[in-house]
Amino acid sequence: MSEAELISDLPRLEELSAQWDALAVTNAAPESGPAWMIGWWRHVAPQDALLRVVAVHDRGELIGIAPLYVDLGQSRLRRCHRLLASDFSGYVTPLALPDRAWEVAEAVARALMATEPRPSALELGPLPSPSPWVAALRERWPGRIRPIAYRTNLLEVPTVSLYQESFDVWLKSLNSHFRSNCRRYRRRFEKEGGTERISTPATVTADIQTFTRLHTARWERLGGSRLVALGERLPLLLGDLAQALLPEERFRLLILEINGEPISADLCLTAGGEIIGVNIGWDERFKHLSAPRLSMLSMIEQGFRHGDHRVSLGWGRVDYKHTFANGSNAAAWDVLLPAGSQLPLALARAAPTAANRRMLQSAKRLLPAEEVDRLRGLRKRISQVRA
Amino acid sequence: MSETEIIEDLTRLEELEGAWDDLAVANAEPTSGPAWMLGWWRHAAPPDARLRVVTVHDHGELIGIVPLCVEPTDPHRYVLLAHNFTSSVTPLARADRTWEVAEVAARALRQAQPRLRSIALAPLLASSPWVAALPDVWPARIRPLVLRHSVVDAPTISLRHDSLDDWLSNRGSSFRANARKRRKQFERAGGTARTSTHETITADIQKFIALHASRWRPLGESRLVALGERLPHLLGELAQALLPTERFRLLLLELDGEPVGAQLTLAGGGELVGVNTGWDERFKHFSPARLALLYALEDSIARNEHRYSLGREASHRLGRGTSSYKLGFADGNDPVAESVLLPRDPRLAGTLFTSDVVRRQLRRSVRQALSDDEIDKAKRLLKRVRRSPK
Repeated sequence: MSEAELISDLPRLEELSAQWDALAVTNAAPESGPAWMIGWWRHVAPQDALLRVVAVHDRGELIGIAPLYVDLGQSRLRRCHRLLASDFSGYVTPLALPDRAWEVAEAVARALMATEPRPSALELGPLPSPSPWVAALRERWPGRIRPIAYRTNLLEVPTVSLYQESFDVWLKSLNSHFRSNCRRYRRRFEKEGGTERISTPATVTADIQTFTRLHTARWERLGGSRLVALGERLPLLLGDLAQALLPEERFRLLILEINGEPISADLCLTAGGEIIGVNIGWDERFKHLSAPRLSMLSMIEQGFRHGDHRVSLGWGRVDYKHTFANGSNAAAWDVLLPAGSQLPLALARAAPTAANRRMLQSAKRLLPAEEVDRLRGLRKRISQVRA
Repeated sequence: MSETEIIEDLTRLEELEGAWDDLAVANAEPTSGPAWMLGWWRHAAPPDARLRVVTVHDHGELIGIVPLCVEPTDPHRYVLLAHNFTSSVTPLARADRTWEVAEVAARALRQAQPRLRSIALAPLLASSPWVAALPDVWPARIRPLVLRHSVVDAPTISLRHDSLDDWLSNRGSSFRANARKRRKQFERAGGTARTSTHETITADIQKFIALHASRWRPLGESRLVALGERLPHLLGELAQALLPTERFRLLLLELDGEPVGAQLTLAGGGELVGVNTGWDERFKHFSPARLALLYALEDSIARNEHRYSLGREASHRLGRGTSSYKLGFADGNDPVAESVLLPRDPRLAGTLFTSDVVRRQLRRSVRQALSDDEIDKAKRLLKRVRRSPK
């Protein structure tokens, strides 16, 4: 019989790190493991956030975890529970051993309903697709009425499946134009004295500084990034990540250098064969070398070398991702509103966002693609002017 | 750029068997491959059903298939092949191409004849991406309505163990002791277990049918027995398609050469699906069904397979408050859901009320809202009302 434990203090959560990480590897979910989520909690989480992690054990073994928090900063009445690092990741998800998600969901739902503050809403996202969690939590929620469930957003996530035998076979599977471009990028880079390397324990501290410098220099001019916004906390976060994941080669910081000078730093995390790109920084002076593309090629090559299965390119809209992708997945943002005295308030709060999202989705369906792109550009310009 | 085709005749579909089977293996879905689905189509489908299989190709390679048909009871309702004959079925796609396949298939289905008014996405795994993907990419100004009207547990056994002993060591001490005792008793009595080969398959199919029929005919609830003379043909075809790759596993338990139990399992991509069992009631004391499952697990663990799916019937048929021997073996659950996708058109209201969608949805809500005792009371009341003279 499984038992749920509600964890609200960091030391207890850290005790479970090894078992939690094993679950992240089993589920191939690098951003749902303790390194990323506890790192986020230490360096990024809102100040008034409360940990609400539900760990589910069966005979002493951790069989599932729902790493949640509740942000009480805005209003004491608002008890919206979210997944740790949900505003900072490509995908986050509760975790369970294979075929135990429904059992874990039931235990999690009961634990959440038995504690204070009870959730008025449970925001789950960005969840990978397929995910059993929304259905499982809704179906197994205690009480006579199932929670109301709705989806606020769904985005395409381009992926590169690494099912071929080797990097060379993968390269051959690409169209000839793209393949010749890839080879050209590499030749040009090598001709200019370019070399690449992956951070090791000996170089990682300096490499993190390089990444921070290149990333900040690139993104400060473009209006910032979630990493730039961290300021001095960024190297600390990356240091924690490296300490946890570098020994198993799951923290992959790829540095491209020209004659020893770093021109690009690209960070990926991996677990269970899944590679997730965290972010990249590169020197604009070397734009002609197409550093992001070169870097992506090398990360894919690394993936083949390590026997990984897939590179997830994230849901951000960057065109070059699509030239590499040979598949796509989806990231979904779902909300569960449990029945109870808080439901009317939660519904009233959710209605404007839900209506806004529905309107956007309907506009996407109703308008031709060019019109949608034009409106998207307009919105981007307005937000840049505002910034 | 992917291309789509709606296949309406069996011959064309048979041409794609190899590529379709590869997809079934890649997706670890033995009962959504051509052997099972086309077997159902030839021997178990309603006589006037019409094939409407959507295939999606990219550069000549089959990257996805949505195997549907239209049954004569409602020509505007599309259902998955073998939907009423197995625990779960599903459309298939190459890894990470589900959304692309769904989009192309949805466009084709919108043009299909007879005009589609609903697709029964059932029985599908509750975590299946298709129920989200199809409505999201449906080519219409308004998203189709999706109603989920049942979710049923489907127990599973994880085979990620070094050996049967390793698997048993994770079970309770009483289960472990019973399992070992039964096996010892059986083997001491001269019992042996073997899996069918090319040489024995024809005779073994007859033995399976005889054991299965003798067990289930009195109980009157086997979909296989209901097939009558078509059953050996169906099993023969399955064996022909899957035995060469050892994915048709017919396990026979024998005592001094006499068959006392048989179990049929299909495999694909590391997933095993138990089709059915049969045993001789005279040898009930050996618990042939449990024994057969143990032998099958031992064989599958040795083959490095991942999971044995016991099917939704394991918990579904028995109802509340009872337990099946299968549940004693299970260490996981991958529930199966029944959903229906209803494109918005002027006839939507009519479709909702002429089909059983609303009734099932209501029944589900009532089940959720009432306690077990209240449901029992309501059932008794309904029974009395039905019995009372008009």
